[in-house]
Amino acid sequence: MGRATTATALSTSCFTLFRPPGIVPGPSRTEFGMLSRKVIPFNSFDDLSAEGLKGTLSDILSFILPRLKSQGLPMSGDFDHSYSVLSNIGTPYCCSVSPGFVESGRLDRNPGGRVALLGILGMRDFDPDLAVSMLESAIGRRNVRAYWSQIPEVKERYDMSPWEVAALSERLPLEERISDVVKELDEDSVGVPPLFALPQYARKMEFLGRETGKTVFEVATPMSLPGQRLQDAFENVAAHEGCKLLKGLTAVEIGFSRNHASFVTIRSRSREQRITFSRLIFATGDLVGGGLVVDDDRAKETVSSLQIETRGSTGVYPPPDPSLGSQALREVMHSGVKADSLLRLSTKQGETLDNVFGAGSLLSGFAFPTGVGLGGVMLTSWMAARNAMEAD
Amino acid sequence: MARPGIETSGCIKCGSCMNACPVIATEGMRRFSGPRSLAVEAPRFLPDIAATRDNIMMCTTCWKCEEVCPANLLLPEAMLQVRALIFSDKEMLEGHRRIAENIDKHRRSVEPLSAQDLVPVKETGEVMYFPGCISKERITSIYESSVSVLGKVRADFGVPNGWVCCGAPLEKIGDSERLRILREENLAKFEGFGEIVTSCPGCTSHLLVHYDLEPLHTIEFLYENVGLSRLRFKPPTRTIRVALHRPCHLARTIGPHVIDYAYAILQSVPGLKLVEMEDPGTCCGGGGGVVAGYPGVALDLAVEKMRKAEEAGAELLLAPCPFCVLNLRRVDLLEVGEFVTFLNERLE
Repeated sequence: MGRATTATALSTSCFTLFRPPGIVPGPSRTEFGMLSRKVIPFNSFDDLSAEGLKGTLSDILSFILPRLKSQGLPMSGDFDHSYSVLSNIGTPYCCSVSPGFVESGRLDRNPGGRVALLGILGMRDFDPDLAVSMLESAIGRRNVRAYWSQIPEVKERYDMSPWEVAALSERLPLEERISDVVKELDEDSVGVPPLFALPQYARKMEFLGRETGKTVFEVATPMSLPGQRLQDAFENVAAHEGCKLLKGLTAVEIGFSRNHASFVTIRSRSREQRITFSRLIFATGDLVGGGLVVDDDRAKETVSSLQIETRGSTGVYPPPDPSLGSQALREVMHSGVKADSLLRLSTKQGETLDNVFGAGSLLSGFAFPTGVGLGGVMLTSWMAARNAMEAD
Repeated sequence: MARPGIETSGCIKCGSCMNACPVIATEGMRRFSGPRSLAVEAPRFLPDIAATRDNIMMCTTCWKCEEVCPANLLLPEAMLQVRALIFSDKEMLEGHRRIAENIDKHRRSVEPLSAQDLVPVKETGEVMYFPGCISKERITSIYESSVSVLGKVRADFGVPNGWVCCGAPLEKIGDSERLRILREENLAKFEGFGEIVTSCPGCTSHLLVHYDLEPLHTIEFLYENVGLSRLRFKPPTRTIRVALHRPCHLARTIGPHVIDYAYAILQSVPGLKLVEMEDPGTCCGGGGGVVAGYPGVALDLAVEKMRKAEEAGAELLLAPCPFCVLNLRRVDLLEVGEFVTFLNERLE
């Protein structure tokens, strides 16, 4: 794990695995070609077609989803097509897999039914009045009504993030208080903001549904609890499967001989430490989850020994709008660590390291602000983990 | 007024620092507006920056915001620069004023104990032991245990005559001038020693960053210089369930390797069952001058930490930091022990 917050943590918890036609080229003749075109929208997907991918998307989902569930995060959805869920500002959010309680608020379900959106005074990131107004203007849906409830501990604190509310929910029976409010509402379907931390998430959301007899769903809130919750689940799975998690550290150098690495040097504020390994997966990075930092006006990987590449100008996505952000930011958004078809990383000298892998947004073409989504994160995590296990 | 030198213009306003801040989680944003507001936005409004005084002193300098910042900003350093910028001898919080007065009067951050009958230690040696104010003047068992442990591992050590506070508490309250004077006084007394060993992560970090020395925390010294094989423990009288607190200045500013060392040492202690509490690396409230400035905030954080240790089934919460021990002991939930003191009781 990298030193900073990851792209996953900054994202909503929805995976976009299916992309509408026009954004990516049409499917190729192989299943893996289709898969990679669906979930890896960068221009080297042909490299990944045969050698790198040795399974189907079903394999990936059947590997990852039960593991997430075992950590308290039930996911549901179908990778063959996408659906729209409700975001916190009332705009539809397109995804194909999401936490079950987000998915239960799909906009295509029961379009005529009445829906309540319940905000909590003092909790930021979800304003049901705004969401209702946006739903009316964006998709003309008028059968949604906004409500506010008061939880003294939240109102008193003022401007609490879902993350803080989740911390509070560990001490207070928030589910019981919300349940009492939801019971009073006329609507059968009620949207609530993210309320619970991962260990209690499934249990408490199920409690809300059971106690109220209603469909209680969660609105997808970017940059707050859902992404954190998903990342927590990923980390717990990795630790549970026997990985040593090096989290919150800056890796500055990889020690290697020819194409085999043996240690990584990590740096804290005042010391450096060498950590030896048999196989290493870099799972995240720094600036905007892109795996890179800005050095003057250039993108730079913090690990000085790794090679980076830029793919923005010829990739699947159109070149960035020159008026968008700074030159450095545009550079970072379209740069990443160079990986081969097995997601093995390369040294600055061009040598491919046989036991160092990359996954997620530190790979070129996967930067979060370019709108890649979490499908590629999931796919490359699975590939990197599997290839690492198979590496000699 | 000079603009703080730490560059924070790369903030992408993602809110990660606010989400991760333990003071916001415990006190709420109305009371503490958080790293982004205080370290990034406040310095842009220099004429009004002094208005942040009460607010910014609630930061425990736990370094969590820097750890999660996607833009790699040095937020705690920026926070300390703002504190230095707004420091005024006339407008200190009551607790901070006492620190400054103690420094002026006694050259310690706390008032020295009136009668001390501590074990005598020589003033020269290969290794310099720097006890720090809390170990020497408040929880003297840390001082005595450290001296005892250094003796048991046969280190040739001494405590420099006339040492003064390292200055770490002054850095936290923004008092750069007193800090500079203490540094000069100490450096003159440190001459003649080789290795430096400290009991306090705050001292370790401060001597390293502000004195340009290479001190080791006692845990580093025991693991790296002495070695696990030379630590011989007595047979246990009973099994005890222990949770390890990870002090912020040890795990995040000195480095997470020290926590690995601490676990390795504890695993070699017979009769000890380690239990893992939730969020062992979350701040206990003991740092940043918050115990002196806002004891209520520090207590809230300590209660949270102790509750988690209790929930994990620990009988004893071990903290390798005098400031953490001092603050955690304000909560009467379970026993709090200091790491080296615990080792000393079990070492042959």
